[in-house]
Amino acid sequence: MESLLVLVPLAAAMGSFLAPGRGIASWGFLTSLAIPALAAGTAMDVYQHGARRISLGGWAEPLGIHLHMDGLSVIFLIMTALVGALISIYSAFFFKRDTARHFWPLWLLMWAALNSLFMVSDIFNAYVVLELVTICAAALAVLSGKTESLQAGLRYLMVAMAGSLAFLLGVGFLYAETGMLDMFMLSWELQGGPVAAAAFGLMTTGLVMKSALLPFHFWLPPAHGEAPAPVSALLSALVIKGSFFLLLRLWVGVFEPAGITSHAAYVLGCLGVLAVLWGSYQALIQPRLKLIIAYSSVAQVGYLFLMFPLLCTVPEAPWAEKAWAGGTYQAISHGLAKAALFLAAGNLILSTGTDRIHYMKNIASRLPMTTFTLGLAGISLMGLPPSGGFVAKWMFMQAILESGQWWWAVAPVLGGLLTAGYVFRILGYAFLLAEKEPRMLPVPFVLEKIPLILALCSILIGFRAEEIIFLLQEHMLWAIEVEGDS
Amino acid sequence: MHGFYIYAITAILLFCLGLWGLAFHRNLLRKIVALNVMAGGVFLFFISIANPDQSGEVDPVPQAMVLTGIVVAISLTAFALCLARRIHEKTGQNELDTSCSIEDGDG
Amino acid sequence: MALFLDILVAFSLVAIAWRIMRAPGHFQAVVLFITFGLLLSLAWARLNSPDIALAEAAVGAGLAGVLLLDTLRAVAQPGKVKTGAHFSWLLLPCLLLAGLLTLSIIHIQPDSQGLARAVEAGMQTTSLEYPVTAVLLDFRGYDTWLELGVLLAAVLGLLCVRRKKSIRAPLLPAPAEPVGRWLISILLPLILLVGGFLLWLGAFAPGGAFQAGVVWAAGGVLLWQAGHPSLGALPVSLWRTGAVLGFALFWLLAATALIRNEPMLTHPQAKAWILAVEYAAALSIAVCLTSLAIGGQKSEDRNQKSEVRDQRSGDRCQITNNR
Repeated sequence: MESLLVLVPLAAAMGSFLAPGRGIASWGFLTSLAIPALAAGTAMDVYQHGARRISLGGWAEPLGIHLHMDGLSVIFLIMTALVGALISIYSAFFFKRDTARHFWPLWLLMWAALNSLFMVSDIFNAYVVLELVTICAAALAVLSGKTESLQAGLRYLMVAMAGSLAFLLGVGFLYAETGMLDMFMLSWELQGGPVAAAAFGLMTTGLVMKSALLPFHFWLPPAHGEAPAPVSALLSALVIKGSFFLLLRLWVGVFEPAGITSHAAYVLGCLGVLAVLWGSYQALIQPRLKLIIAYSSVAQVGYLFLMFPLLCTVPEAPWAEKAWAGGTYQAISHGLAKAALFLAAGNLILSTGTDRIHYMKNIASRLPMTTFTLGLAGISLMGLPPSGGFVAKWMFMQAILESGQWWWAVAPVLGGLLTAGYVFRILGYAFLLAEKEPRMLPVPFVLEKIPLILALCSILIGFRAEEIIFLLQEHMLWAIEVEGDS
Repeated sequence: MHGFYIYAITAILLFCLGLWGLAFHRNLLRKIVALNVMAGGVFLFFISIANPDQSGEVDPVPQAMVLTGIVVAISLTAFALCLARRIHEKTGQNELDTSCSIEDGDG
Repeated sequence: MALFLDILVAFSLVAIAWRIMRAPGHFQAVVLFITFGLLLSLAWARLNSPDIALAEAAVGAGLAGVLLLDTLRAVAQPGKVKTGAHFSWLLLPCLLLAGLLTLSIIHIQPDSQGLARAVEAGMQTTSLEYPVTAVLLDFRGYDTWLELGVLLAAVLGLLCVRRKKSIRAPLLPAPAEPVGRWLISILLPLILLVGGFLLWLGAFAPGGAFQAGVVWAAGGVLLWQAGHPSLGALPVSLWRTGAVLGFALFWLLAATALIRNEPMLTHPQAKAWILAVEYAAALSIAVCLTSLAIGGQKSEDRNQKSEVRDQRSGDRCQITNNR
């Protein structure tokens, strides 16, 4: 089942490369039917039987590469399956044929790589998978061929390449220290010490560069703002989560047991808070809708990094479960809401030809469904009940208060206010009446519905907190017998 | 034994020199060259761990990793160069619009 | 004496890297980079890694050099390098980082065997005889598979940037170059032969799919540089198949293992299977690297028109299907 999560999109990618004819989008359709089913199956399996791993090629622990499925990976897999499938359907109606020829193979390859990344258990394999994601993402970002997008894409590529190289050097340090590559074994073997600390610093810096945390956020807004709408949605909702997932897995799985994370966790937490404030502020003053949404990504990624000081400073913290739930909820609801926002922005551009918010007047009466989508997704971003964003912030607040590290509360509180500011700024323009009616093209049915479904999902996941929290319990994460069912 | 330290430290120096070049060069081609120097440093580090005492016995796993890494690096380089060329065709410039300096702060 | 040689190689590596960064001219920097690649392969030969030395000499110095020089020619601008104003102080944090990393390197115990023992144990059961090839194709075959994916993605990205359907479309009309053609008619069979030999060697000695692929790719690039029309005459479907073949065979391997109810990518431990995968991988690497080397060319006039149209429509991707 879990192997098929990689095999199916790869087969579709090859198919769409070899047969780029009229029916190229059907490869995407088929994949978006299969993957959610497969992801749900894997999730049920993990939900009932706990974490499991498979050894690729049948080679056992230190030698072979493994795929590891636990509660955390399953949650990210489901999110990717849902967002990916809906964006695929949107893209099938969005791209004209000569762009679709380039879009499908790259996106399907990237989908396979993302699925593989969420099951990764081998640090060198993680590097290869990350690079596959990077090159596909950079190629997708330049899909429109505009000069700005080319520059943004190249800047992203270079930052990501430097980040990967730092990560790879870290892999080298870990290998030199322990002589193994499997994260699961490293989590037991790795002791603290200067070599491990160097590996830790290099890998963290590399992944932080790729996740666009504050000092390295500069590549994100142009890259996400200039890409075609479905691509922006994919990049913001999924690609950033990939490197964040790997960072989380490494910190909690490998470095925290070795006891070298505590000081760095505060640094990441501070950067996260700064990213929330700075990103939200920038979003408030941007003149274009897509740039607002892109800067909002910078801010929302900041929230994710609050997990580290809450999880990795005190061993066996009683509030860990709430911090886990807050972080994963933030990742999922941000993925869904951000995809909805970018797709809705895409509809707006299709209809009016621009995404400058001064030209957005009166869209509430002309494109009511798109406006409604913007509003719903905004609710989730702000963290109003009962949305997924609310659960995330609620859990974060509880964990923060229980841990006594009250200063982190600045981020959810002030960040929420600033978010409300830019969401209402968008909606405010949408409801303004224009003096003269601008020319607007109708938006096809499917293109309006898909973002709405995504926005609804980001609200509705707030009602299913139990299962997700169950999946994040401690015994669902790393816990497997070494001689288990692998 | 000494060989290991010599090459490992060289590798680190190459990595950091490449990083420096990446940060201060404005020209895209030079940035890409600097990235490749960084990659060379990383690969050299892997090979120096593969063969710490320079005896006949070499650990094949880092060698295989470096072979994989070389392919990945050349793929990314080729793609980046293609992008740089396209940017030059469109703008007549070999630089990105705003300066972007990358710094690898904590290590 | 050996120590002296190591220090010499290491010192010249650092010195050349320094010169690459500080060289005033771009051309000078690229040439120095090629030298750097050659020197690096010398270091790897010193470290008993002939595979990597071969690959680096072919890729780092050869193919990357061709790519860089080609790009340089295309983007050549008269004028000098502008180094940023903050050049002098950026070196300090980098040196600080180097110092920190060096401090931790001193703590590495270089006697750890890594996975060498595990590989030795694995060699008992795999049907390959040369450890590096066994790691690449069997123990860590997943990495190699995805690496072929990265290569393919780079080609796809290149097509995407160039807005081409296939690599063939842009090939320039062959410049008449009789000497080059004469040379290639002698060199090409030799290149094919050397590549095949390396591929065959990979089963039990240094060499293998990657090295063979690179050598063949060098042949392809030469063929194109000499203006030989044969690459342009290649049917598109054949080119597509070649680029994806190695990747596809890995996929087949993974899928058949699932059907036999074994973990993904389990080899049936039949030599024919592994060799088929290896040969296909070599072919795909050759095709993809050739495409990467020659595909970055500017599109021909025929494609310019559509390009302008794309530019104009910009972000407004038209809807394919207006219901």
